Amino acid sequence: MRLERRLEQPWWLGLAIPVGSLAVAFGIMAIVLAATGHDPGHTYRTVVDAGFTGNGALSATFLSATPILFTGLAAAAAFRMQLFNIGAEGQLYLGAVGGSWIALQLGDRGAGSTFVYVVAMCAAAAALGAAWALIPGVLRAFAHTNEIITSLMLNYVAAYLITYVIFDSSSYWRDISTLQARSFPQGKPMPDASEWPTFGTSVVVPLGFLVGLAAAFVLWVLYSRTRFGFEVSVIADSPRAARDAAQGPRRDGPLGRARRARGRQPDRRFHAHARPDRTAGSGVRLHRDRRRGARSLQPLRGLRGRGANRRAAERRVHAPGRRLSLRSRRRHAGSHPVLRTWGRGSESISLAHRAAHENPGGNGPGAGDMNARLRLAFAGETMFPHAFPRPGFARANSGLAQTQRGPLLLENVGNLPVPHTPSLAHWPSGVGQ
Amino acid sequence: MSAGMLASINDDLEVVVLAQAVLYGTPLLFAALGELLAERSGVLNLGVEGMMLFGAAVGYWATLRVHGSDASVLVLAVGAAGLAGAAMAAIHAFLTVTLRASQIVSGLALTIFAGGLGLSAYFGNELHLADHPASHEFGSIDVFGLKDVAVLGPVLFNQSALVYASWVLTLAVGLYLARTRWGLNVRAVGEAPASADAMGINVTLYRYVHVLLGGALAGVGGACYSLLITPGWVAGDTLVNGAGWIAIALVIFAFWRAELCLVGAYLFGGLSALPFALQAHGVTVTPELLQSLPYAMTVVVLVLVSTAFAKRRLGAPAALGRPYAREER
Repeated sequence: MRLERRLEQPWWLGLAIPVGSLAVAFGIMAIVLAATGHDPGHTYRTVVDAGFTGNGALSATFLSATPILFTGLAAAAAFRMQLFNIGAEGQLYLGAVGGSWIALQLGDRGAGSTFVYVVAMCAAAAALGAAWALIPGVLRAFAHTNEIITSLMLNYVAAYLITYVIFDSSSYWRDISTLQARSFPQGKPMPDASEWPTFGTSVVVPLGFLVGLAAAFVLWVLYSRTRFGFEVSVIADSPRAARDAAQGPRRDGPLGRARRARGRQPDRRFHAHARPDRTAGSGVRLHRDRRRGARSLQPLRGLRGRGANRRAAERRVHAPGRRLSLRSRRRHAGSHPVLRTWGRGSESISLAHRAAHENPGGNGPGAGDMNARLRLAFAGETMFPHAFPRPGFARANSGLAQTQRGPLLLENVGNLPVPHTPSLAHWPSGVGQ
Repeated sequence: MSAGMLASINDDLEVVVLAQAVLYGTPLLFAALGELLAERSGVLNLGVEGMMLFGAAVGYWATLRVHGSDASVLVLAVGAAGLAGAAMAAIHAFLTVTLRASQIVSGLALTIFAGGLGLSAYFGNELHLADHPASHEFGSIDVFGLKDVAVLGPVLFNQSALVYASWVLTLAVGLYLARTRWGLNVRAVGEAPASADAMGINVTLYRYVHVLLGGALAGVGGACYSLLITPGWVAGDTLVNGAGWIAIALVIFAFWRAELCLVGAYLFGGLSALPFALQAHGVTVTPELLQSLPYAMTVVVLVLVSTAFAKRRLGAPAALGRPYAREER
């Protein structure tokens, strides 16, 4: 049996994997339960009852799901960079320390507005949790320390810190007002006004859960709909390719870097470098037809408008020698989803070319280069359809480039994978018929 | 008279901490040697903590179930713990070597699956391990009657059989990796699996064997806790309490060498033993500060090692963490 990596994921797989995993997990658990003399059906009915259908069960589920929702988002944010922040537990503890500290402080000062409490607690908890996550983050960035182990070790430190905060008699959090609290260590009671509001009567949804949903939405937009998110995914796949892109051509020099830092003329640096006939990032491609030797400007797919508006837009775009401002380029890109968000898309294309030329083997430290190239090639296809007249082709090439280029021995020939040929629909008519 | 004087030296705080360092370092040493074997073959196994917890539970269960002389029961229990660890490692090996899943994700999942909230807790609660007091436990062996020798006596000659076994094992692993053909093959598989494959070495087999061996040693390391250090079993992950993670850090700290694992294990063993020894001697330091010391020190040591590491690659297997597929590279 041979297993091969998928080059593309079918759309249904994203849903099928979690659902299938859950089903298999419940199946295996049923076997374990049956083997140890429990009735799986009864156990699962109890689970569903206690979690969802029972009296007040759904409210309790919402409540206990809230911290998991937040810590899940915390892990997901780092995973997007292929960083494994498994210190969410410690960061959660620090958030509890920070949130409770500000609430107790406000209580001492007699604050009465729940809104003030909620905002202050969120801010303090987020700040302290981020500070705790900053330790493995900084160590990762500057000392190349394995973030998995450091973030996990800090979980234990945070757990001892929270024990200290509650148990130590000189701690600010320790309640020493009553005799009982002095003998059995416990934290100070939080002020009444600091209790977060809830919504609903039969099913109670805590405010924190809604905040978590909002945070999830914001993260989703950030990572899948913004240039920042795209950069994150490129850096995650190949820090090296990303560094190439960030540095630009070498002759750019410090002046160019400073100019780039100010954000002006963002597209020019690849203009001369990648291909001189590409008006990079302008939403237009200068097309040279080999046979006719003529030049024509070809608008990108996705110009906004229909009829006269569309023609006007194309006229604007076709105007020779006209430089378009970044904003108007964005406008011309119109409803094109990829180009709208990644205005400087041509960087990606030339980046893909550069990476392919400079590191053909995909060997060595930039093992993710191939993946990044693949990703960029896809982005390029969507953004520059004319540069890739046969969409299947780039994909086919990336598949081929992943094959081993070891010594060509007779025994290896049988193992060479068949190239993924592009579908016939993309070839000129007459071929293959 | 002189014997009495020497004995009093051996009651000193420093000597007690040293002796305890060896004791507390032993599970770390077992687990680190196991992880070393797996990583030298190119497979990173982050499931050490989970395998240790499961090994601890199974080892303790074996002492309750098997009847016989102390020695035979304990040998069987350690064997059972090793098998339990290997069984957990087999999951990891299947996922990462055969299916080529991400080694990081698989290892983390293994820790969660086998760990304090997962299989080991289910196993222990189901068999009511926590209700039974320990019936068999490792005692210290007075080797050559040298127990009362100043300083060295309690540290080296009055330890349990597991400690002596760990010394033999360190030597064996060191020699195996450095001096035998199999060891050479393991290193080849970890450094350049494609070349090893071309040489006719069975990469899959070597990785499976060493991940399983690593799991077995992690299981034995867990049994050190439930049979030696704190005989008994408690639910949750307090029994092992992060030692598996420290063991993984130890392998990095030891630059992937067996003899340095020993040094590191005793260093961290000493840090783990310090709070108890200090408390016993009536020194009042914030206990939480002392208890978090091994974890904080792990971070510090990792940073020191990684900065040195960034300058030159010190011993890390080149293919560590990368699945090997014959057609790709």
